[in-house]
Amino acid sequence: MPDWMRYSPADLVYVAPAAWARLYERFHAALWPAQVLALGAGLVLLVLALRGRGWRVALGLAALAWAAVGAVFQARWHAELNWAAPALAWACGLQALLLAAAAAMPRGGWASDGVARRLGLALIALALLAGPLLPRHEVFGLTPDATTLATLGLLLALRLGPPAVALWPLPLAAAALALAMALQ
Amino acid sequence: MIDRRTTLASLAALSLPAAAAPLSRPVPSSGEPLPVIGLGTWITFNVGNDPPAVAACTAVMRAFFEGGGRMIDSSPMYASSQPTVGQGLATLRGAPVYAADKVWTRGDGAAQIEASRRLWGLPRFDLLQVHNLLAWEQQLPLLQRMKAEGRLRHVGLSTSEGRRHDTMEQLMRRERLDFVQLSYNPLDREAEDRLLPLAQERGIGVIVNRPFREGALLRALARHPLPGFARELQAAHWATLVLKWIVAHPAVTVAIPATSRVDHVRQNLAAMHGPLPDAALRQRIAAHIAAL
Repeated sequence: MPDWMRYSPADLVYVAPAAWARLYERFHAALWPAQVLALGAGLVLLVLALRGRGWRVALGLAALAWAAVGAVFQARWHAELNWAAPALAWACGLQALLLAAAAAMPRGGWASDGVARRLGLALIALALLAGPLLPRHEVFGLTPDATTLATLGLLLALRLGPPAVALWPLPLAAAALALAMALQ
Repeated sequence: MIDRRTTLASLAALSLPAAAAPLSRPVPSSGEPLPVIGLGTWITFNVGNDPPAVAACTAVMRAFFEGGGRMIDSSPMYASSQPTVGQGLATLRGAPVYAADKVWTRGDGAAQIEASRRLWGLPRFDLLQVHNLLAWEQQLPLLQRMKAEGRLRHVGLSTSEGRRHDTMEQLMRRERLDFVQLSYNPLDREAEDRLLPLAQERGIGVIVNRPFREGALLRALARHPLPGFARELQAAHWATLVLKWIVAHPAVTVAIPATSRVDHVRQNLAAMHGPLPDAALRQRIAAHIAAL
């Protein structure tokens, strides 16, 4: 059997579930009450998306969220358990810059009512409202999975120009990785 | 070279009545006896800067040493496992550890090794291995130089899950190695074809990783009662039976199951006591497990 066939999603697992849960527990305890601010920003994003207003502000909030996740969660906390976390922090920084650049584009806006927009709004709501209720408390702007999910929802709900295709790869890769690890 | 840790461990082994001494195998290249059950640290010791979790790992190490274990194996790839081991060793001062680590970089191997050594808090490693054969062309000569200079006792290579066995075989034939590390268990027996016989032929010690397929094998076996021959072998748990099967292969020097539980450490260490299966019983055990 060739070596490449000997790799599986199980090889992505580098930490025990209990250690991962403890990391989140310690993270949230250390950052409290930043969760209130993060949830507030997320609710602003959700309201803007529902009302179809302030698309630049929404992208700006998403940019700040990615910057915060990179600088705090990835670089400081996740790095305790994963030697690749500093690289993930840089990737978050890149995504933040891309989102900020998208917010400064001359043209853009919310998508008209349709499947994509509704799905996008549902993902944003799921990330913002259900995430914190999970045992490990996924919070938009603080932890990666809620931030990724809300961003994917935002991108679905927006109508941006062709350069915005650059906004998709990192959140999609993050979502695929999170799903692969969750299934192990 | 004899050092304090090796001397203490050897004296401790000599002071025990023969019946109670844990099963050891000699390192083929040096003759030093090593208990056949070691401790891996992949995932289980990656707990970050979490004091209660680090203390729990220290408790595992304490039980491990008290039960006669010596080899602890880690790697820079295992994230915080190295500092977790280091903190445990600092707490359990004077533990007779046989420190096995790895070099895992395409860059400055010497710098990485020094960083690892500081995390362990030891003056030097007993064994360094090129992890997953990464950049072996560069790192293996480095380790061989370190050994020649007296800064390292043993040199090895590691792989896992049946990967890169061809390259491993070539290097085993060509290079002077003290150890190879590879995956081997009743379901993953590829190493029996070439690598284990070659290790015996070349006088290379064998360290077995993934004895339980990272727990998956034991979880599958837990649904079934122990077979009758487990009693003959004084194996009260599946983990003990599987480890006895592994170390009964004459080429195997040490198996390194990883665990975060003290009770599991004791089940693993129980494989160092009592009878081992002969070749015929090994075949029966492997067939029984494969059929479950």
